[in-house]
Amino acid sequence: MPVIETHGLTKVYNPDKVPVHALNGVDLTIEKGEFTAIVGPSGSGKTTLLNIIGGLDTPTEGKTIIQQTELSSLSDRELVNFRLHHIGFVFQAYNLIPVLTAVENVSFVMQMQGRPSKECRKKSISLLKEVGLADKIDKRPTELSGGQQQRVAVARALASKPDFVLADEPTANLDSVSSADLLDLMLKLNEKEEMTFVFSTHDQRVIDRARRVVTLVDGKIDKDEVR
Amino acid sequence: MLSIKLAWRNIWRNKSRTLITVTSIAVAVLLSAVMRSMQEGQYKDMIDTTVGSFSGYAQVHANGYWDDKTLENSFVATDSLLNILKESKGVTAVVPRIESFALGAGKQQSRPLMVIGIDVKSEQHLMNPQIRLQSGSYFQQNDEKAAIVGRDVLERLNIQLGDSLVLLGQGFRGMSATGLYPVKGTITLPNPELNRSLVMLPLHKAQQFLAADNRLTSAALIIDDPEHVDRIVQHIINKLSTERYEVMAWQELMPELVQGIEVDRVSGYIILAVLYMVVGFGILGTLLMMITERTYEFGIMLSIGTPRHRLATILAVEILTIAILGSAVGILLSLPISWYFNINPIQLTGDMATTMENYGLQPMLQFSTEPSIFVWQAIIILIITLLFSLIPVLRASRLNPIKAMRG
Ligand SMILES: Nc1ncnc2c1ncn2[C@@H]1O[C@H](COP(=O)(O)OP(=O)(O)O)[C@@H](O)[C@H]1O
Ligand SMILES: [Mg+2]
Repeated sequence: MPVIETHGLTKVYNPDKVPVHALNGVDLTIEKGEFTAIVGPSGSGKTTLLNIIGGLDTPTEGKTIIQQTELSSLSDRELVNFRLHHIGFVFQAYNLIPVLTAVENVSFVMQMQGRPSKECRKKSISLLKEVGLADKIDKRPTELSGGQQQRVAVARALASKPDFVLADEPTANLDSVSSADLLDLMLKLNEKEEMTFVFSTHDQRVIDRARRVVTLVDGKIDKDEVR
Repeated sequence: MLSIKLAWRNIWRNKSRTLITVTSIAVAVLLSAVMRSMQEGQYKDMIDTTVGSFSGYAQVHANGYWDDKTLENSFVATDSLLNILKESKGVTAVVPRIESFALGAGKQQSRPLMVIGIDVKSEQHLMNPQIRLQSGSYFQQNDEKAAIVGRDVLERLNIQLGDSLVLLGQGFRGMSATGLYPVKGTITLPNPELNRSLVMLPLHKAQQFLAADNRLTSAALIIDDPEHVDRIVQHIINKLSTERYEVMAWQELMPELVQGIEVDRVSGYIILAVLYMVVGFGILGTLLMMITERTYEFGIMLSIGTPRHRLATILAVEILTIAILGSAVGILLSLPISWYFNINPIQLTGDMATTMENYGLQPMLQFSTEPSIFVWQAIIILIITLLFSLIPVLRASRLNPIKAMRG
């Protein structure tokens, strides 16, 4: 049973003025436990694809099915709730709420899910340990390095017990050491917890370590390799 | 809980902006509360001087007297009537009076005067002539043959304390009224018209003079709490024959006073409305700035699944906290000011003082410390804050997450 399925996704920006065809029919299936990199040159449609899979944007045509739910059937309100319970997000940078500490940021999504705050805190601390930040739980984002902030973001993405984690260029703002560390962490979580990861990147060292590499060119899947 | 934590930390994130916003709200609350306190203090003073120490908060007359103030519309002071009045709940004393006009003659001059027969004892609850004496002494009893006059009457008639005052007039049912009364004292009242023309006689002597034995033109009621006046009036109306008597609260006795206060209050509200608008737009500006700065952050929050209403709540709590802080500071600052000027009223001089004296008011501003004034100003500012923050908060919570994060 696939976690993510897309069928014939197209996306046209500015259809009335100067139309930009960002996606031109993307059919993609991702199974549970996969570790997939979406790669391709800048402007090839990686962000657009991840946004549509994440329920943040709607396709012009085609459909996205996540764990048997078709996203287009959800209202805005249901979609927010769906993201909260089914999808973990890691963005390129500034993922965290600046006034909250690391542990509070991780707790935040669980609290939004309505879980008791004691449980949230316990779980958040153990997640932060897992991402190697046991000594930073009470630090605010400004007191953390870029790599540490991305680790907190990964911990937060896992906190909601999502079906999969979406990460749009999570290493783009990091130096090579931090990038490698973050990738190690994601791989470890993928192996140990069987967490499904879908992330975009154009960093060759990151690409080299992915298990499955989907290459986009001009909004179309050009290559889909499993290693 | 989480909303409060987030709000509190965000407030201190940009300290100077919070400080400016809190200060502007505080200043608005301070200004509006102090202004209202001054206004209400003045109204209370107006009511006290005219109502509380002259007319009384309510009066009973023969039916028709207030429209046609003649002795023909006087009534007999029966024991049963006086008992009903005295025993009504909330009435602490009944002050009987008989009033008419007469010509007062001194050595060379004669002037129209207002003659008022007072009950020597109970009048101490109302006009309290004894403590207003400027010279001489107060009456001993109700059948004492003596007069006490307003402080300018002697001069106008060109007579002196101890001299006799001749009064000429018309009594009840057209009887002629004449009398000769030694002037025993002079009295200063807050109303210049009364100072120029008032003659007080002990009740029985006045009734004799006016050929109206045992008759009164009014019975003023002293009540325990001015706020209860309407209830008391209604209660008495139910007990008396409305064909024979009329019972009026001070608002009905002095419609000009009520109207004057209303007009002044409204003009005050207009000034306040301008102030409120300034505060409102200040808040709007702060909010728009705050939301623009944090659009990316809101985008993240919405992306990871923060329900829109939660985001709105978080923002609303933040603004409300600022508004409450500002209001609290404003009230805390205004209270001592109003309290100080309540105890030490501002003494007015010059034109302002003359104008007020001409209206029968004491030339001073005594601020009110009525708690509701302060509470209301805080509530109004809170409501304004909420109104002006509605649109920005809704706009923030309806952001499209991708657009918000693209910046
Ligand atoms: N909001 C938008 N409006 C118009 N064009 C857009 C918008 N977002 C992306 N595009 C265009 O769509 C194409 C794909 O963009 P994107 O998905 O961001 O690619 P990538 O992430 O691979 O760099 C690009 O040509 C980009 O300029
Ligand atoms: Mg991109």
